[in-house]
Amino acid sequence: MRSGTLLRQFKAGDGTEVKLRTPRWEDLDDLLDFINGLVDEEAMIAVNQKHTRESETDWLARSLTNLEKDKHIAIVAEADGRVVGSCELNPRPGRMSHVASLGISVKDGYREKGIGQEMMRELEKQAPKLGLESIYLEVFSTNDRAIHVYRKMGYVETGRIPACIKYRGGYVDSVIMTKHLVV
Amino acid sequence: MTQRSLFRTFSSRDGAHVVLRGLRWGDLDDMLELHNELIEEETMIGGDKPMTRDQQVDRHAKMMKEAETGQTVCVIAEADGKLVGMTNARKRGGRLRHTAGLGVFVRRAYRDQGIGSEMMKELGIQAGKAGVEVLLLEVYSISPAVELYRRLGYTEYGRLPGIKYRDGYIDAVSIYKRVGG
Repeated sequence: MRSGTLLRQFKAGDGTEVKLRTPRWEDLDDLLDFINGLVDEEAMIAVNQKHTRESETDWLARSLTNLEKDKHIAIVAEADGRVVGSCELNPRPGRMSHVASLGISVKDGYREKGIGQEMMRELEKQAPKLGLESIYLEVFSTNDRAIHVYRKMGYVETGRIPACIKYRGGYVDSVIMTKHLVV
Repeated sequence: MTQRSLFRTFSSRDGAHVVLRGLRWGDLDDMLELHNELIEEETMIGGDKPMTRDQQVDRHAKMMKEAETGQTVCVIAEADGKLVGMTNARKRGGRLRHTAGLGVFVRRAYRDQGIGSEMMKELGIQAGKAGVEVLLLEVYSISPAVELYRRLGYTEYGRLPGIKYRDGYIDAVSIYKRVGG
C-alpha cells in the first residue's frame, strides 16, 4: 500500500469524525507523542521505554518501507487533526507467512468509542491482499477491556504464556488470541 | 531541515512556475522516475543501472531519515505539480564534518531553464544554515554542467582520469565552493 492512502471515514461513538488511512512521514511528531503518552500512562503494551525523535524516525522509516513494499499493513486513525490510534499487521516469515501478528493502540481520551474496532475491521479487510489467512495477537491477561473487544471481534484464546509480562511490580500472563479470516 | 519546508518560488526561463522545497515521502515515485530517466539517457552520473521500486523505497527511506536528522540537506524543484529536479548535500563525518558532497539532477524536459542553477543557489543557503562550510562535487569533464558550476563559483581542485563512459575514457573533475559564514 502507498503511504498516506485514505481508506475510510466514519463517526465514532460520540460523533467524532475519524479518518482511517495509512501512515505518512508527516505523522512523525504525532506518533512520537502518541507512543510516549502510552509509556507515560503505563498502558498495557510491551513498550515501556520512551522513544526519542531519532528512534521514532528510524521506526517510521522502517514502517513506511514495509508498507510501500507490501510487507506489512499499517493503519492510523486520525481525529481532530491528530493521530489518535495506530495498528499493524506483521506477517510471520516462511511457512507462517499466511499468519500475521496484530498490534493496536488507541490514544487516551479516544477510547471506548469504537475506533479500535473500526481499525481492526479495516485491517481484516486489507489482510487478504497480503495473502493473510489468520491473525493472532497477544494481550495482557488483566486487560479486560481489550479482551472483551477482541472476543466480540471473533478472536478466541488459543494460548497463554504464564508470567510472561512484568507489570507494575508483578507478573501478568500473556494471552494469545487468534482469528481465522474467511477468505 | 524537515520535508515540510517551503523555500521559495520563481519562474523558469520558459515561464514555468517552480517551487523549491524540502524532500517529502510522497516524492518516492517521482524520484524513481527521475533516476531511471537519467540512467536510460546515460546521463553523466555515478550509477549505471535502473532501480526497481523496492530498491527505491529503501533508498528513499534512508534519504528521508537523513533529511529529518539534518545529515542531508535537500532541495526539490517542483513544476506543473511534478518533481522536476533535486539537489542534495550530504554531510561527511569526523574532521570533514563541515563539508558535504553535492548531487544535482534535473529531468530532461526541464533542463536549460535555470532550474538547476536556482536549486543550487538555494542549496548553498540551506546547507550553510545547517553548518556546512564547503560543498564538494565531482563532474565529468565533458559535461555541459562544468560551465554552470564555474559560473556558480565552484573551483576545480583535482582531476581523476580514466572514468569509463560510453566507448572511451573521460576525467572526473573535483570542484568545491565555500558556503555559509
